[in-house]
Amino acid sequence: MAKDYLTKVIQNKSLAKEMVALRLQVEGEFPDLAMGQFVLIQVPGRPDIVLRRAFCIADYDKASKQISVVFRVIGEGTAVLARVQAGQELQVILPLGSGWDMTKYQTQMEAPIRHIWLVGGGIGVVPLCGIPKEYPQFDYTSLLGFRGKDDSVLAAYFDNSQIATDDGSIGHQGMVVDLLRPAYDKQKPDLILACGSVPFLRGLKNIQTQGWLQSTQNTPIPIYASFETKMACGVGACMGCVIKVDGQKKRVCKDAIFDLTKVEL
Amino acid sequence: MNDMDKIEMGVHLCDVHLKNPVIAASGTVGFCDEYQGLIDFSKVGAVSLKGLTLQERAGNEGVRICETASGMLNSIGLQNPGIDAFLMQYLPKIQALDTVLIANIAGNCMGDYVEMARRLANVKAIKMLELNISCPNVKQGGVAFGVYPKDIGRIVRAVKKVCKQPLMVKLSPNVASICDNAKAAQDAGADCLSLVNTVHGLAVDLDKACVIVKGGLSGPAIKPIGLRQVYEVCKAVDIPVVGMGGIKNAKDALEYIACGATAVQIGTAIFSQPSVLQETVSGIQEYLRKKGLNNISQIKGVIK
Ligand SMILES: Cc1cc2nc3c(=O)[nH]c(=O)nc-3n(C[C@H](O)[C@H](O)[C@H](O)COP(=O)(O)OP(=O)(O)OC[C@H]3O[C@@H](n4cnc5c(N)ncnc54)[C@H](O)[C@@H]3O)c2cc1C
Ligand SMILES: Cc1cc2nc3c(=O)[nH]c(=O)nc-3n(C[C@H](O)[C@H](O)[C@H](O)COP(=O)(O)O)c2cc1C
Ligand code: FES
Repeated sequence: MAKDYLTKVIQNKSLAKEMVALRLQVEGEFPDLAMGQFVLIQVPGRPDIVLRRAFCIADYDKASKQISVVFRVIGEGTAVLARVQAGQELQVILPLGSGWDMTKYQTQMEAPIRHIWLVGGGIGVVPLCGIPKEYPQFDYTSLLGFRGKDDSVLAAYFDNSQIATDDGSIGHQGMVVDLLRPAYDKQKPDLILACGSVPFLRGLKNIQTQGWLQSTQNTPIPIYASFETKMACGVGACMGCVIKVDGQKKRVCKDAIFDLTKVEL
Repeated sequence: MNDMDKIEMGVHLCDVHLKNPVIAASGTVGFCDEYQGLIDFSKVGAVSLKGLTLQERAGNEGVRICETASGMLNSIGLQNPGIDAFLMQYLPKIQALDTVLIANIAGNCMGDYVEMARRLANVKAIKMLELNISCPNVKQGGVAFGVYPKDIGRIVRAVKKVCKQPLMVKLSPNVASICDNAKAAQDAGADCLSLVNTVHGLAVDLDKACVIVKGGLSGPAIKPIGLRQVYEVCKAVDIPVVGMGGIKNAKDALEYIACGATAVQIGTAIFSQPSVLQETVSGIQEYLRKKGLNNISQIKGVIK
C-alpha cells in the first residue's frame, strides 16, 4: 500500500547535461517494491506547484532503505528538484503503479521466457534498467534510443546494449526501431518490455503490426509497455491519466503496465 | 484530556452530524479505497464521493489534466462506473468507514437526477446527496443545469420529491448571479449548498498551436473567487453553506468559515498533500486553542 514517506536526499548527482540522479533515504518501514513502479515527489518549497512529479524507481536497496530516481530537467518542477541538496527532506509517495510482473506475463505465454528485450527511448529507459537485477534468471538484450551522446550515459545501466542516437554521435544514427530487425535476426526474444514517450511506443507498435516479430514458436512476441501521461493523484482516484486499452479508458497510474497490442495510440 | 480534546469541532449540516467541518471534495478521492493508507478517513468530517451518473461514463477523450500557476485544469468528463456498479461493487468496500459518505450525482437530464436520487433513497450508508448541477446538459444544447435560477429550481424540486437524505446543491461559479442561483436552490427545498465547483479555463500549446485542456480550474488560483461567492451566498440564504475552492490549509479553511461557511471541502490540495484533510482539522483546532475559543461555531461568520 502506498504511503507518503519523508525521505532524505543522500546524493544528488549530475549524470549529464540536465540529467540528474537522486538517491533518497526512506524514513520508517521500507515498503515492498518492484521495478517498473514509480513515486510521486513533492516539489519542495513551492506551494504554487500543486501537483507532485512522477518518476520511475531506477534502483532500490532494501537493506539501506534507499531508492534512486533518474530524471531529465524539462520544466520548473524538475529544475527545482535538480537543485536539492544532500540532507534536504522530500515528501515522496511510494510505491505506485504495478511494476513488471514476469510471472503474470509467463502465464499468458506458451513457451518459457528465456530471452527478453528491453526496448527504451530516452529517459524512458529508466524503468527498464533494474529488471536484469530483479530477474537474473533471464537473458537480456537492450535496444536503447537517445537524442545524442549526452543522454546516452543511461546506457551504462545496461549490460548487453545496442544504441541508436538521433544525431549519430554514438551507436547507430537513427531510431531505436531500426535496431529491432538486425537484433531479431540474430536472436529472437520471447518477450519484449518497453518504455518511452508515446511517439516512441507508437513506432514500436507499428513494427509489431508488421507481423514479423514472431517467437521461435511462430507466435507473436508479446510486448508489455509502461506509459507516461499527466497525473494528478497517482493512486487511481482522479481519472486524469487514462489511455485507451481494449476500447476502455484505463488508468496509467493504477492499471499499468499494458499489453501494447491492446493499447490505442 | 488535553487541551485539544476540549475544543468542539463537530458541526451539523442539516440533520447530519459531522465530527469536524472538513470534507473531501468530489472527484478528488474517487471512492476512497484508492487512498487507503494515505488518508485516514476516520479523521475527516465527510467524504463527497466521485460524481456518479445513471449509466457508466467513459469520460472525455484526450489530455485530461494540465497544471497551471497555483492550480490545475481538469476535463475528466465524469468517468465513473455508473450508479448501479457503485452500489454493488464500490460502496460495500467503504460503507464501514468511520466518516459521513456523501453521494455526488450528475445527470444528462432531469430524469437522470430523479432516478439516481430514487435509487439512493434507501441506501443507509449514504447520509447525504450532493447535486452536481454544473455539468453540461446534453439535452438542453450543452447548457449546464446550474446556470439559470429557473432550471435550478426545477431540478431541485424534482429531486427533493424523491430523495430521503438531506440534499446539498453544488453551485457553479460560472454564472451571472451566484446569489440568485443560491436563492433558487433554497426556495426549491435544498437543505444546504456547496460552492464552488471548478472555474472555466483553458490551457494552450503555443508552439503546436492547439488546445491542451479546456476544462475546470481548481486549486489555490481560485480561492479568491470561491471565497467571494461563499461570502455573498452566506448573506443571501439561510440554509448552511459548504465552502470550497483552493483550500490548502487550516487558514484557508478558517477564512471560508469566518465568511459564513458551516463546513469546507478540500480537493486539489489532496493530490500534493494527501494528509491535508487531517492537517486542516488539527490546524483549525490549534487556531481555536490559540484564540482561546472552544467551539468551531465561534468562528463561523465572524467576517461581516
Ligand atoms: C509514471 C511516470 C513515470 C515517470 N518517470 C520518469 C523518470 O523516471 N524520469 C524522468 O525524467 N521523467 C519521468 N516522468 C516524467 C516526469 O514526471 C516529468 O518530466 C515531470 O513531471 C516534469 O515536471 P516539470 O515541472 O519539470 O515540467 P513541466 O513541463 O513544467 O510540467 C508541467 C506539468 O506537466 C506534467 N508533465 C510534464 N511532462 C510530463 C511527462 N512526460 N509525463 C507526465 N507528466 C508530465 C508535470 O508533472 C506538471 O504537472 C514520468 C512520468 C510518469 C507519469
Ligand atoms: C480531478 C477533479 C475531478 C473532479 N470531479 C468532480 C465531480 O465528479 N463532481 C463534482 O461535483 N466536482 C468535481 N470536482 C470539483 C471539486 O469537487 C471542487 O469543487 C473543485 O476542485 C474546487 O475545489 P479545490 O480547489 O479544493 O479543488 C473535481 C475536481 C477535480 C480537480
Ligand atoms: S493520476 Fe489520478 S487516476 Fe491516475
